[in-house]
Amino acid sequence: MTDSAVKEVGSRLGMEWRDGKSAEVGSTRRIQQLNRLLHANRPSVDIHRTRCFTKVFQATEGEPYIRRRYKACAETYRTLEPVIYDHEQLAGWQGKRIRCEQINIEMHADWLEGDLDQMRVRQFDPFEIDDADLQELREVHIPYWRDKTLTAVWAKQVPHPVKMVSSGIADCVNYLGSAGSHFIPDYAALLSTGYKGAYDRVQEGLANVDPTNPADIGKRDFHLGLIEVLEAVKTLAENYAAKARELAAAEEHPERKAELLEMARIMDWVPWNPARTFREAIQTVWLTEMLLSIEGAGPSLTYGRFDQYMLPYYEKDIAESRLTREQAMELIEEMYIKTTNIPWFQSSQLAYYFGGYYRFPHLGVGGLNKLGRDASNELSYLCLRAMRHVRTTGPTVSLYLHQKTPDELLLEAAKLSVEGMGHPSYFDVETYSRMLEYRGAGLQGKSPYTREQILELGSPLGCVEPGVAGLQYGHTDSGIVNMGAVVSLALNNGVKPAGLPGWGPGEQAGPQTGDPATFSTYEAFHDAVLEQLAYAIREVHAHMIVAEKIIAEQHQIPLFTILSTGCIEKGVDVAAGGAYCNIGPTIQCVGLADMANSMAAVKKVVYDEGSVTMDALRKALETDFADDEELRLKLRNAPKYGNNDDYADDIAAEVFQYFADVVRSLRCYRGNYADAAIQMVQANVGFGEMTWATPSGRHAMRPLADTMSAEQQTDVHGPTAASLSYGKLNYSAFTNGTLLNMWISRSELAKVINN
Amino acid sequence: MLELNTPESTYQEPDYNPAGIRNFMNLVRTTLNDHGVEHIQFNTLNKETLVDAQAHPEKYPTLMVRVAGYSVYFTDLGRRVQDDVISRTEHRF
Repeated sequence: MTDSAVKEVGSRLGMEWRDGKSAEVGSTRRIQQLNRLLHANRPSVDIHRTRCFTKVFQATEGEPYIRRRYKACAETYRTLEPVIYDHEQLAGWQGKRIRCEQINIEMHADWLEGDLDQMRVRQFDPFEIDDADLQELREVHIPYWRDKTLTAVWAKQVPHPVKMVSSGIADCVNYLGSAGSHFIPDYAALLSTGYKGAYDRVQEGLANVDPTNPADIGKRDFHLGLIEVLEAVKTLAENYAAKARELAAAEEHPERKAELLEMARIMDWVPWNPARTFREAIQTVWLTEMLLSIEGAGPSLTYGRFDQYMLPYYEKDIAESRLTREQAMELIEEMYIKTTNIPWFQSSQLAYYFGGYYRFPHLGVGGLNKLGRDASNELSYLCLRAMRHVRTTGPTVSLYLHQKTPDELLLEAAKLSVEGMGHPSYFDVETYSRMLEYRGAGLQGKSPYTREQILELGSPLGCVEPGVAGLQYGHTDSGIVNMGAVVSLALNNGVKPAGLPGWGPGEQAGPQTGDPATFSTYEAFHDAVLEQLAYAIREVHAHMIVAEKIIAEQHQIPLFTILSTGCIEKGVDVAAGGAYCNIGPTIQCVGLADMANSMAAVKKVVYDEGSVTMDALRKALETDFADDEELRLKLRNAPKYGNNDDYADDIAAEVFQYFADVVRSLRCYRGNYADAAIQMVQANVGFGEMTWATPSGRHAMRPLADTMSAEQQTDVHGPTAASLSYGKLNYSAFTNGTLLNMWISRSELAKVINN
Repeated sequence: MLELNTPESTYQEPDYNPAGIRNFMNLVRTTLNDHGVEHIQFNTLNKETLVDAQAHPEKYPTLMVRVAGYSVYFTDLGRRVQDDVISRTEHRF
């Protein structure tokens, strides 16, 4: 398949080509300049946070973890260098330069040492780093942290750490590197009180701590720590205001001088106080997003229902002629640019598969309000339109579609789709609402969410995971089970095929489910597959709940806690279970279509038609069909998921349900049950490389089908048939979300190419 | 549609195919609101564009694709991921 003429580019060269004129897009000159700035700067590493963490932790050895974590976060925010670039209206950068990542050293120190030398030059997602910082990392910070990271501590406590990060069957490598993630703050509440409102509640909580009550042990540390963090956020805003005034004093152009003074006035007031205008509100939202990206190591820090919580400020400003629609859209475009500027820092190994620095921010529009009425408004249109002008990769912009959503808004979204950027995502409101009704609640239970909470505050986070603003915390992207590899195990009596990379080729990786030659019926084969699947799910879960305990005890996150409803009142950090609804660790699958198509092919060719024996099939698979292309084509021509053919779709629906049922029967460390998902972005490629040939007719080490989509080139009856197939799955059972990709040819949608 | 006054903008609206847009909207409505699928996202480029972008990446520095759950510049993707995106089924109405 590999064509030697094809050049492998990677983000390093890609960025060079995007520098300059080609990046100057946007609705105004200001946005065009800011967009150019985004592309002209290479992502870089700032070790400010790392330095603060090392300093505080070294000075507080032996003290309670929560005290040390909160102090380290406060130190980071209090002393963060305020950076303001020309043209900017919104203040706030997470590092000393544009596109700068504050390394979460306590997550990454274990792998960082090996990657440090190639960090600046690697082909995928390189990061600039100053020589002095590099040396300091190597000599001071990595030696202090490398045996204290989540991965390092976890590896000492679990039975199969290497298997769980490299077997290609079930793993949790992504989860171990990204605590502090997957969260929608309750922005409506924050905007209405500012951080000052939280500060008052913490002071009240501190006053109520009863030192004679065993249940209150540690709560003094909690409240004092949060006070320090909140004061640090206030100081950070003051530092920005001072910086803006300093720049204004030196500025020659009266127009820019006025803008800088306006920025200073805004930073004097927010985010500490309640927002009064659209501009103050969007500033509070952006600064919070930025701070969360510094505090947490992980992805999916989500804006949620931006067109709802921003609407009162927008309407008031429009009514009082303080703001025009175009000015509001310009601010939204600036926020998109800044959002795209938050890179995701990953190992070289992960960067190959998740290239592009993307950290999964998400903003959505539309949906219903808490009374069940259509919630769309002018801001919904502006958020979609802004993306057509500014053309950034982030954030993911979504339309929450309901039968009540006006066609006009769907048309606005469709026009964005035609742009070919992959924006927006489309969601069904009723389906994700139903997922939320059962989220984290196990097979019998219901989540604590009311319908009203779901309608008012619910939205997807990250890619597709249902969440509720302020009320939910937990990692939604945790364990992953490879359904293609599971089929292989069932055909090999639980042994991972030799010749595959990673942990354990030729090893007993799953239970001994029997020699497939002895499977006299399809049911016997089917049962072996499901037994292997259940084993893989349980094994990864058992490893993750240990990590969850370590996170609860050693990876407290103060700002996430402040922005989670009820944590301050309970006196419990959100990582330790303070949320209204705890979720995760979750388990997702990759290769649904590969499993369904493999089982359908075995059923058809081996058992229904009897044209080949199970033993012959196993032997053909062993050699990756080297001598048996005829058999491979026969398997390829068996019924395939995605064509509205019940023969294959029924199997897909059954294994989909079975996977969810096993996952949702498992209890997690913070009391909730696990949730099932199928969402894992391009894991189909990496996991495919670790998967042997499958009875679906797929060659060894080729990509699996992506997410829940039909297998590549097998959905041959058009989009309507594919859509009917997808409609047969029980989405209520996949309480952590489902991701579906479809490709509609551009020539169907527009007459000329507009690029 | 929402009318905006953006004289400085670089944006140019393409020449839409109204029947195709209508089909697209119906497909989204049906898949989500009728079939109850939670989420759907689209790539809407022509396959030839992606194949050409692999051969001549310098001509396509700002070409974006949807991988899964996020959009990314095509040039920034690893070859194996690019191949996978290209290998998916390109549907027509």
